[in-house]
Amino acid sequence: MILKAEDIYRELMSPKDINDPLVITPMLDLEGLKNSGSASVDMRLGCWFLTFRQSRIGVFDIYEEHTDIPSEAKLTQSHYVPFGKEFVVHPKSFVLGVTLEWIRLPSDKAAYVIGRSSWGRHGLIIATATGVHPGFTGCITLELSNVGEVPIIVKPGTTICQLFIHEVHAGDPTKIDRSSFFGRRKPTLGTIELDQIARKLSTGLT
Amino acid sequence: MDITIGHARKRIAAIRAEIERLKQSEFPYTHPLDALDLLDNMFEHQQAVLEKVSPTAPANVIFNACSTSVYLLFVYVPILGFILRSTNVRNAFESYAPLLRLARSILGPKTKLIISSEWAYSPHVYQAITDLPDFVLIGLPAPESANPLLIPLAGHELGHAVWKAESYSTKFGKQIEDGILKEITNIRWKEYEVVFPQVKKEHYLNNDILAGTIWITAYTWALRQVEEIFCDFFGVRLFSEAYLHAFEYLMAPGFPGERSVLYPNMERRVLHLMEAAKELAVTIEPGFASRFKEEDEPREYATKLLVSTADTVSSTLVPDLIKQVLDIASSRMIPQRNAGNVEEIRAGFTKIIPTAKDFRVTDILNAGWRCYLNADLWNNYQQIQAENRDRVLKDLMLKSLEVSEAYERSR
Repeated sequence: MILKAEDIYRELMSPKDINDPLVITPMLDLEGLKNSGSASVDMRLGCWFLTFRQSRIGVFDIYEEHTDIPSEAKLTQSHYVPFGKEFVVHPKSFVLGVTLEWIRLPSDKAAYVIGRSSWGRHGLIIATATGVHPGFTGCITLELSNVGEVPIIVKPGTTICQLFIHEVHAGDPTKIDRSSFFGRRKPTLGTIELDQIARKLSTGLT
Repeated sequence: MDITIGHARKRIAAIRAEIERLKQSEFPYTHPLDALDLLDNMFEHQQAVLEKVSPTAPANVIFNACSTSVYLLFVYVPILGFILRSTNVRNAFESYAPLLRLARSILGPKTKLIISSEWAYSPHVYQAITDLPDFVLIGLPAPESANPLLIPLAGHELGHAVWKAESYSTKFGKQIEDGILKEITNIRWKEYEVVFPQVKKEHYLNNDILAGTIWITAYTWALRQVEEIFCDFFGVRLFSEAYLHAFEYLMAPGFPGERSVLYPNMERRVLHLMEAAKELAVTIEPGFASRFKEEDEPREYATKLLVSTADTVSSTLVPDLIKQVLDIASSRMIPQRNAGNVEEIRAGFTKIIPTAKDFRVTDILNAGWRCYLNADLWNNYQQIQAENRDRVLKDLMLKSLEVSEAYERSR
């Protein structure tokens, strides 16, 4: 079941379990959330961005066992854009951003991040239904891509995507995803790790 | 001599070109750019001076113009490096707005701030930069410039800016001078007579030039010590317990070798800090003093005597300095950390949640330190591995500063 905005408001104001609350901070327009009538909560753009340093790597290949996978610092460059300043997303470029809001999901909630269609229609695609698991806490990394024809200016604090929060039924509440994105304020690439099956399937016949 | 003027012209042209390149860097805030403009104006003026000097001018004219250029380069090249490092994304950028607000509440609305990192000596503040009026430059240690737990040390650096702005050197100068002369003539005369036999007691009493060459050294050291003690007290007033923790983190157990004469020795400095903390109702951790070691005193006897005199006089001013800090904090309505707020923020941090309203920077830093010192923090969170503990705490603290700023700006 997807929570309506007024349910989210209620959860934020008086959590069912104070030791395992739903948290979204900063929540700069609580009244707006309460009265929106939607089934999501708007997320704003944060101040940190990651761009890619194309010239520092030949190819990104996780399949070669003896190849060192380049670190995030080698692959990307961080940018801090304070409130009031702008960041330009150029056509055909791909950058990582982050939500201004720090989210904490209780063990009985999960969420999806969806781009706002108003931005999408202008060419700015934000994430592709990023799943956020129960127990997650931190800012959510956003994938920003300008598929349009003109550069797009974005500023921290702008509502850029929306969070759909779902109830999660059953399961052991102590079993939670040990995400590597846990407790971060900056966007991050994370690591792609091949499991044993993928490793076997990706090996050719000899 | 004409080759020297040529070198000077090229060096000034090079520094101006470098400033132009620096301006293209990615500065999140505008104050470093304002500083670059001011420095460029200053070097432009020096360039004009050099252009006016004919290669056939008298040697002393060429010498003066060239040595001024060398001096300006000596002073300002490190500052340009500092400004460049203010662009580094490893800095704690989220602390900029709250610290600027704090600095302006203390030093006035024209205050400009540059936060950067220091490689050579840290924490450090560049004092009395004539060509950068209204600027406060705060540098945290380069390897930890993103560590919010060290932000309280900015309190000490802001203290230097207050000391200069309020002309406290003048205010305390006479007291220090009287104290030094009294100490020499009344208390330590027998020692001074032995170490400096050429100077008689009446020379000190009449304050003549022969005595001046001796006591002025102790005076200068005492004045610098008093300034440093004031800055420590100012840091305690601004950031309470968090200042003591950050001070200990950076300074304990002390440096090896001989003490600096410009600071009280570490043992005394810590005792002064504790005295101020007591007066300011700041809690001192058990064993705080014992974590600092005694520093070596100078071996050379004259230096030892002079610094000991300076130590005694600077110590006598401790109550006055505490009062001065209290007065200035009260007149500028500088908030003190609020125990209730600290506890509320700390409780959030233990659930891995940043603040949910606009708390003051001092409350956030104190809550962060309380969590840092809790060895059992997040033991029940399987998602946080031991090696990530500090990173998550720092992210929570910096995010809290940003959240507070967002609330402040969206009012």
